[in-house]
Amino acid sequence: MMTRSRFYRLALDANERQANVRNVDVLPIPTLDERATLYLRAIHGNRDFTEEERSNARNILLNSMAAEIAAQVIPAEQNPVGEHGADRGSPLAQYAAQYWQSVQRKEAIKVAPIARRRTSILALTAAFGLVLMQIDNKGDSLNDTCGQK
Amino acid sequence: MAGIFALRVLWTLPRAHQAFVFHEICGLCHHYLRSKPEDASEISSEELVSEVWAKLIGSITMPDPNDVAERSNFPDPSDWTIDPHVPENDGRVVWLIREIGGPRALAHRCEDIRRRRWGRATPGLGRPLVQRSELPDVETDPDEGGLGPADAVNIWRGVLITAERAFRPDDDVCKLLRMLAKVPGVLDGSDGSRWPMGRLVTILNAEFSPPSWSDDRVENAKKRLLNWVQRLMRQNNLDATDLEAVFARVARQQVQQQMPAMDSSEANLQS
Repeated sequence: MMTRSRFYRLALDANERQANVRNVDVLPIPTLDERATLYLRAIHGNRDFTEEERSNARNILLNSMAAEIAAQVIPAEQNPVGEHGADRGSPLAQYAAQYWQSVQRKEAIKVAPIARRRTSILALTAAFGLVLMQIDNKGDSLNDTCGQK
Repeated sequence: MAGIFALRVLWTLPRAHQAFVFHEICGLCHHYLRSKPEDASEISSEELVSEVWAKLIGSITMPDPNDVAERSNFPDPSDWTIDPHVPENDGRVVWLIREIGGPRALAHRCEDIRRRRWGRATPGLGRPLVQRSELPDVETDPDEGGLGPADAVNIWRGVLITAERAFRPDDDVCKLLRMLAKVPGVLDGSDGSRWPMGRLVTILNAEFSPPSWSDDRVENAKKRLLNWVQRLMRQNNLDATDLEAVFARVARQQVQQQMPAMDSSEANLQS
């Protein structure tokens, strides 16, 4: 069943707020779907794209955005507050432990590593390259065998 | 910020001009790899082209909570020569190709590919020598719906990681987010956008006082958080679903970044 995070609700609220900032950027910016199409056209040229290709492209772009943010993050050891959390004995940590115990009782966590779903062009290219190398190697060894004979 | 500006420029180009840029970048990537055999031995031209566009089209800009006017220091597009018929005479096309297709930019993209493949290099030590293990099996992709409890934490952790770049770590917004990342269930049972202020005040007072927390202080932190999220969405033209997915990935990627270091230290212990 589809559920939405509390952050989603917060983001919707934020979106509904009246913009209180003057937008001085004169150039428009594409939506995520438009970005996906642009990316696919950059890679494959002008043609129609399947929904799977669009989904993969959206995934690649979301990962790129996340990487851009993660690359600029202050390492945890340099952060005076610590690693995004509280001490183990603190009231917040105790509250968190209680929360997690109740969650674990309610529901088993669904296993779905992101890497498994990503059938990117790069992966296909790499796989294709490996196959070609193997064929090439087999050819070489055949040639060697024939040469020895 | 440079990336998002370049994306805006690309997006304003006519389709024929865009096609010209795509073609030119493809040629520049081929040419670059021919001149760098050490890069070409591990990176294909298609891979580099894909990296260039993923980096540019997947750009994101972070709003500064103190900068209300949202100024930018990039060239004024009205200063560029615009030629709707000949792309190579169009100032926007020339600027864009120079910005993303130069040898320095392409060297950075090659390094991005290697970093993703082998992990971040440590000064003096190089890259980790051990093979990276699989991601911890605790995540559910927000794109596919069915968000689990792990994603609820990932998303808040991603928001916190990102917010700590914009706000000071001791800012009330970060304290509030730190609590939500640690105890996402604290908002369960609250109605829509109304938060259980009493419960939040109690937990925040137990963890982050003095000075003591009140309803007003929590409301103020929430309001500033909302403003920041709103600007993040508007400046990047992302909706709530997109932003949720970005933040979940930020948290996952931080775990991934920490793993090579953990693997290396384990290998050192074993040797």
